[in-house]
Amino acid sequence: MESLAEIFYEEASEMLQQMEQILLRMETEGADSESINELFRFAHSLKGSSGVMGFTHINRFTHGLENALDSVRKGTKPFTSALTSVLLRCIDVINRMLDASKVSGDTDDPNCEKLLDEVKQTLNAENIPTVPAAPQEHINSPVEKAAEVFNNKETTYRILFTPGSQIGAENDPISILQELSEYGVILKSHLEENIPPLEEYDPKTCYVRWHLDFRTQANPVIIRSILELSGEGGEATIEPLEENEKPDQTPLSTCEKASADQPPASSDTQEGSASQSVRKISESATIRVATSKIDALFDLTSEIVIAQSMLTTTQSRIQDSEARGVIAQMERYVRDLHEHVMAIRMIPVGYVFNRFPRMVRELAMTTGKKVQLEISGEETELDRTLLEALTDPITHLLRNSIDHGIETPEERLKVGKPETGTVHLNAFQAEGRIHVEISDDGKGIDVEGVRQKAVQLGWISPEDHPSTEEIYEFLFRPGFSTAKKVTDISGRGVGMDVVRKNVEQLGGMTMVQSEPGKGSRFLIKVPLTLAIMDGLNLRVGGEHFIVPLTSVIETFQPENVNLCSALGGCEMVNIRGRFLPLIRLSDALKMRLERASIEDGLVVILEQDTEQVAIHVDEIVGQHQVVMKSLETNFVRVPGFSGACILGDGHVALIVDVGELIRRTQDHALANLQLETV
Amino acid sequence: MQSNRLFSETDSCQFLAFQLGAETYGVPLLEVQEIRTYSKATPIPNTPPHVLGVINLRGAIIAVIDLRARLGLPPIEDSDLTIFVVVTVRGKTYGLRADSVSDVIDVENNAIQEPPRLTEERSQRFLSGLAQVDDRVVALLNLEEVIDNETAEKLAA
Repeated sequence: MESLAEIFYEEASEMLQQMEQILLRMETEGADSESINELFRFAHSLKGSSGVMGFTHINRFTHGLENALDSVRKGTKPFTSALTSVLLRCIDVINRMLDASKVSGDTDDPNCEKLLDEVKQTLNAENIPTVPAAPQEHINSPVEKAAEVFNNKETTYRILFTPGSQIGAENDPISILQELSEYGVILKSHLEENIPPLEEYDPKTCYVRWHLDFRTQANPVIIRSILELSGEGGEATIEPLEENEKPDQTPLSTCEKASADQPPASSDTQEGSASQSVRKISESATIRVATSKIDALFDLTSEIVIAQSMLTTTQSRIQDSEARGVIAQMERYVRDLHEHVMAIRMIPVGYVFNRFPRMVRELAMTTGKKVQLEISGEETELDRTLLEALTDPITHLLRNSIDHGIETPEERLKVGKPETGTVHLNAFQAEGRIHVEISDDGKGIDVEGVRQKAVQLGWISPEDHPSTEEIYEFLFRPGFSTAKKVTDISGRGVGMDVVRKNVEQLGGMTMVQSEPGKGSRFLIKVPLTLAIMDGLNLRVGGEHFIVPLTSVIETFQPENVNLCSALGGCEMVNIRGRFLPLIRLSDALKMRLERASIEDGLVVILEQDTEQVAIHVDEIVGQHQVVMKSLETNFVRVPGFSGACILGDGHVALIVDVGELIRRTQDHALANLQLETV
Repeated sequence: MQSNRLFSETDSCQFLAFQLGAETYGVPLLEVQEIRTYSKATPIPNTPPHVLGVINLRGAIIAVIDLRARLGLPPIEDSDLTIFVVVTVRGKTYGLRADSVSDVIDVENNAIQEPPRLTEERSQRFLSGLAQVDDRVVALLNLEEVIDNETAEKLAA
């Protein structure tokens, strides 16, 4: 039962997400009947599945939604932007109810009734008589009233219901008929069957159809929608019975006559639906797997990779050449296995990008700006955990672009730009990393404004005129916010620094480019995967440290010619004419380790976000693929380190957080400076 | 706190006893995951002195705590008997370095006494009780206090 609930929640949230996407798409591309039908089907499925789960409140609410959408579908009500907003809020409410129901079962949301009323009002407010999408022959009530589920007159209809040929969870004639009976009374039913001999019998094919006499106050449109749309490929003919024709006196022959008029579903349509179902199957050549299972598989594979690397290090000690061959073979298989398991965790960034159109739409509305969000590269694949961790930084940068970048429509027109601003969200793979780019055609970064703000904050003196690049770096400092007034969107002084920090924790970097009047471009670069990285193993004293290979610019053996010192022993290294402070790794990490003489060791130049630092280490042990493990799992986050990994010999090595290291060395230098001035 | 609950539910409960010098300590057996032979830990910079570092426990990285340093005993060299008692506290796994392990003991609930006031507050909170078992006195550790993440969290802030 629990797994059934899990499936329900998963499917429900997927459906809601799709509904949201459809709504947003309809707003930009216009309402087409296919989209409206889709919305209706989702609402209908939600109604059905929530009913099965016993969530009566969700069931009732989605039922209301379904009715509303049905009237739009039938063309009796137009689809408007106001309706989109209300429907989006409806989706939020359903999401909330779903969340609440996880904790406390079937729960009501106080907004339900109000929202449904609002939906109705929105529909009626925009009630322009329009031509129904499809000619409805037997509508007794006026067009305006078609949206009402019930018209007052109780009528008896004679219905011939042919269910879709494929029976399944989506198309269950019995539940369809049960649903029908909610709207009225089935006076009489006659089953017409065409069941083949057993050897030809396919349990999933429907061989029967129903002749029904149905007394109801409901609009025939509703009846038709229940019968035809509930399942896939269902067909119904609905005819009102004459008042004087007593339904229960109707001779059976009439039914048979009716069936003669309507021959069983022609082979054409059957083939059509069959090929449709075949296509469905090939489209869904995927299976749903709980992420916890994938994570477990992944963890296990990581262990195998480590064990394999331990085995490989002992290989040299093994004399038996056959055994050595097997180890080598194992190594290849393990590498393949690992690659494939990694691929399972990769998902297209579209999963996250799809959330943003909604957010941008709402932001644009609250800021009174006109913004169009363009998304490209949705198919770029990224490790799931990484993608989740990137959601917040991307959200913030988008907010930032809309809030600070894009101008108001009036301002835009004044400078000769189109009224609607464009924000482009793009993802692509380059340099062995995933790049996520957020660019806008807004006013760009106000370099002078940023500089003055930095002066105000006391970061630089009023006479200082740092380079544009250095000024951009101020944006990422904690406590910086140029927004003239604090809004709830951005400008609380937290944000850009958090963006950078989050991205750095993922082993990535953030960059910014801007051109006044033309717009800004923020770039996030992250590794393809969080869990595995190429690392350089550095030894200092008896300890090993790993730095991500992507941060390493170069390594070299220092010679007296390119070493110098100033201010009483502050060591520097001259790299092709440029001086960089030379930091002992042990000092930077505040570890008391024995110091080797500087000429004996090696210098490693590390870079993060265009900042470089020269680190002195005793030895470069080698280059490894390491499985990154969090220190937080069983301990706490340790500043200066992004995690730890297990080396080939089973020992643990800490992974250096290069961004943090660079900041520390700068702070360290600053602290020394202050000490001397005091 | 958890050990208190255990007392009330059964008449006696089991503790893993181990040695630190001449003193015997006990931790509730239910919180003990395993006992591991000693291996060198990788030190973590900027952590309190009682945090020895991290070790690899079958692929998981766990922090190890030097009980001697934590409880205020003088340090000693590692020996063949040195062990890690692996415990799970508040969902996180830690190793506790002890001189040697002795055995599993059954302690009657009524044999557990409140420890007298021994020292200033700091290390007093590490003890949850004293138990007289045969001819030994076992100091029962309050693991929640021994593994306190305050200092560790301060460091992460």
